[in-house]
Amino acid sequence: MSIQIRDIEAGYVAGVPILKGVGVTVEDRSIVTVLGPNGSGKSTLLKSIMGFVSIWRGEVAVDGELVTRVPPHERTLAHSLGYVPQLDNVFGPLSVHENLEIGGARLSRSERRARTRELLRLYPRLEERSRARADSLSGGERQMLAIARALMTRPRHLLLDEPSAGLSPAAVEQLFGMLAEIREREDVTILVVEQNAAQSLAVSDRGLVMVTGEVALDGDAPTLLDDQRVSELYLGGVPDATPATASRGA
Amino acid sequence: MGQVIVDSLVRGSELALLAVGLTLVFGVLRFANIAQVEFATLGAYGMVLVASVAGVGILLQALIAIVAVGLLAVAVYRVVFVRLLRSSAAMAMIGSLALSILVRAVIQTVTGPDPKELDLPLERGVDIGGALVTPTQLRLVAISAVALAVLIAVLRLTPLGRSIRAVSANPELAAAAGINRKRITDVTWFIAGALGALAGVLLAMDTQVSLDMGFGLLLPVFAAALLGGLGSVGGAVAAAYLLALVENLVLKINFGSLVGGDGFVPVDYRAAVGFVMLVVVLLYRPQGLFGREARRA
Repeated sequence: MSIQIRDIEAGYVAGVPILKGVGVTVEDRSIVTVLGPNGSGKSTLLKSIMGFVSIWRGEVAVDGELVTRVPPHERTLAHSLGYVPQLDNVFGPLSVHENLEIGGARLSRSERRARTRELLRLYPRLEERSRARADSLSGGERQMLAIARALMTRPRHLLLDEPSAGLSPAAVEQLFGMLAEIREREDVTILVVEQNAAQSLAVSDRGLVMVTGEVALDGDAPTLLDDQRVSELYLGGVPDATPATASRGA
Repeated sequence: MGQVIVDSLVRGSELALLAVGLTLVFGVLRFANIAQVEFATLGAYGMVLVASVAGVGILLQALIAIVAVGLLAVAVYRVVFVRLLRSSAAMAMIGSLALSILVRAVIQTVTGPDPKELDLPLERGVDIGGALVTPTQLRLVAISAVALAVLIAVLRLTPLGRSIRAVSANPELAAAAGINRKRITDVTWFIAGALGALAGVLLAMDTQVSLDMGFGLLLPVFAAALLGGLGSVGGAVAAAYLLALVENLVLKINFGSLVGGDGFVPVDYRAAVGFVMLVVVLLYRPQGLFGREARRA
């Protein structure tokens, strides 16, 4: 079992839970898409795995080890987590090359250099712009850099928060192609929060739909793709009964 | 003009060391530490204290004072500012003003109100292109330049420096990249304290040691950090020298034709130059002369 979230209640302000008893299991080497309307707690779910929000109840385990009390910076290497937030996902004043080096800050010098070279070879667009400031990149380049930075430590688990937000249709297509390729190449589990349901589920094994801090639907990706309620939920609706084709949250 | 340039280099060197400390701490914590200038006072008095209790050479006196103030800065951050920052940056800034007053009160209680002088040999000034400059001032400019160059090299070229810049740019993302923000913040406070103490030591060698030597620099130091774009080390250095140059030019200009009689600006009003400059620049470039406007994806 890769990532286990057990009945967590979490939020930013005491007494105002954003996640209300969420339980999710993300299997090894799978791609899981988390869908849901704005404010449903999708980003908070990723932040609670990384340790950026307070968890008041429940626990998070990565590869069987509890990480709930582990500080965020320790989770990266000790528990092999890579995280790409939705906004501010690069170090703007630093160059592309420096962003990658920062991603490998905890690696040895030789490992860091080798991995930086490897990723720059894999993403030639980043290599072309390796001396440019990250805040001068286009949206697609920036997203590519953010993901490459997170891959520096060869994480076994990659958490992506709305990676397609603000990208052009061509860049979105390229991005989802990149996710499938990363899973194969890096042998990594990917938990991706998305608004772009169709394209994300198309490359995923499983999908979850969150509504007001709870998992409303949980099922395999093809089933969810065909589920009428997925699109209804996207418009802010709430499922009225236990899903027939998909199961309730784990 | 030569004298203006020399005076500006000396003044700019003092301001730059303090402004860089201020901007570094602001970068990682988003809080402007008013007590930054007191690190200069502590550095100067620390050197006097070391000289009085230990028979060591002046270099060692300076080094001990600088390291001690750097460590004190880390302790003050952990004991005082960690708690205040949990409340808000504004609370921490007010707390830093209180700390600034407290530092001077404690020093006055321990050493008395009278200025002190370091026991240094008198040196004859030298003429450089028509400008009179003392060897101490030459050393001040050179040491400051070397310290700032080393700092910028560390920030640009080393993993530690990149980590400081990363935390400054985006603390949460830095943590996600495995950087220990607490450790980086401690290191940043040490650097800020040590740079402030170095400024105090150099000032003490050039002039004298007094209770208000740091507080007197508060306005120009803040002006330099803001003009440079808070958080920008290179900007703070450039702005410090630019501010010093403008201050010295204004002091040399006779405004008599405008106001009648002797129209020189009194030297006591020198700090006002920075303030006027700051207001004018911020009206047109709120991000400072060398700062970049925030851009988001």
